[in-house]
Amino acid sequence: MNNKKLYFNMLTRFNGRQMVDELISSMKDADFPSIIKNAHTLKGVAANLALIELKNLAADIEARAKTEMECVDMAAVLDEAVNTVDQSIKMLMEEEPK
Amino acid sequence: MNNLKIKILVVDDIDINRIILTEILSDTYEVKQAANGTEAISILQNPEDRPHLVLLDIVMPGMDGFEVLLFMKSEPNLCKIPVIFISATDEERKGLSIGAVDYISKPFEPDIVKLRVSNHIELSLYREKLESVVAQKVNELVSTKQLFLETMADLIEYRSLESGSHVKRTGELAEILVNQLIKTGRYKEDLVGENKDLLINAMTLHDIGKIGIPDSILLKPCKLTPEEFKVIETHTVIGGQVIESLMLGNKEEKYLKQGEQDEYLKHCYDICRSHHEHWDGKGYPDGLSGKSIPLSARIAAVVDIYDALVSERCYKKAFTHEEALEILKESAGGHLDPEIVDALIEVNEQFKNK
Repeated sequence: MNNKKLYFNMLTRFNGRQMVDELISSMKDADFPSIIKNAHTLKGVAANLALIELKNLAADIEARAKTEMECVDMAAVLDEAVNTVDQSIKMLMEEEPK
Repeated sequence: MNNLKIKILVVDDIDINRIILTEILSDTYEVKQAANGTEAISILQNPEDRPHLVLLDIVMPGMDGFEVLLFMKSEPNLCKIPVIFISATDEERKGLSIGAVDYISKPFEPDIVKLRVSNHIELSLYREKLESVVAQKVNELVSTKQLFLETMADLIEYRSLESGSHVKRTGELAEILVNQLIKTGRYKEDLVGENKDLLINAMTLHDIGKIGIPDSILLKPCKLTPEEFKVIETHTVIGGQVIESLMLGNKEEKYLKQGEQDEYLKHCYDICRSHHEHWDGKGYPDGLSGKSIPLSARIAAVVDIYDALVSERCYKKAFTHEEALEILKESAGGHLDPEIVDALIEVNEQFKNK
């Protein structure tokens, strides 16, 4: 498998929507341990897939949650970011079928 | 590593991370995956699956990466497997301080991952090889020493023309006696575990100091003069010195079972030097008495005397087993440790058949 193919393959496996939903739900509950865990996982995966905006957001949220700072205000931005990613992935897949 | 493929274990709860790493590494290595700490431990504990290196995520549900690493460090079979943390966490310091060899952060750079992995594998294989060579050399050294001592014991026997199997029988009789002491709870704390076998092995060396006694005295076919007897007595001191010189050159024990070689040489020394001490303090060379005579030497004394009694010597005929027992009984508390004589009497039937 070459790198490009691997990358596409990984992108199709990426369940960003689900991860973000879980994160937002823990943000609404102000459940800081869960926020840290969910944001951390999202950060790692997003970083590996070079989804920079999503990675940065997740890192910010993780950092805030570690100081127990309210972060529910970031939910909307996060939601928008994952939508963008999902749409981009969809477009990419249509352009370059497997 | 010849044609054996080097194995790597990737532990991460996110499948995307595992797949990327597997993809990066599977050209060169056999990659196994675990989705959590518990799964990783079960793979690690199977000797056939045991990897040469572990790539370990830190944040995982259930058992996290730190716990997996701490577990590995506590297991002798696993503690030397190099672990590289893979994480987006900034806990590099903690990871390295509890024993990870390196740290790779997400996102993964394929070339860097490959290089770090291959560097650490090379280092660890090198260390493994070095350790096995050192252990082998130490073992050779130890068995050479043991062989040297045993050969010396044989030499004495050839030279002094004592009963052909005296040395070998001394070991066998000592074993019977030690087993009886253990069975009846006497000197229990001194005879635990491996100590017992070391002590029995050392028993056969009790007379190696006779190598330093001139033939004219050692082989004299009639009773010795008091002056000659003084010379014979020095075989205890000479034997002790021979063992001592081996103890001094003995600095490699950390690769052996803890302290084993020390214990063995200590028994050899005690037996060689003190097997002619008497319970009542009238023996030689140091005039020790009672329990200040090392236990191994007190056992050796009983065994040695019994064997000398029932053997023919140039100056005496052989006593029967029963006569020998009577003489030992009379010596209990005087010449010999009474508890050890008691033990011998209890198992005397086994002595008779040797």
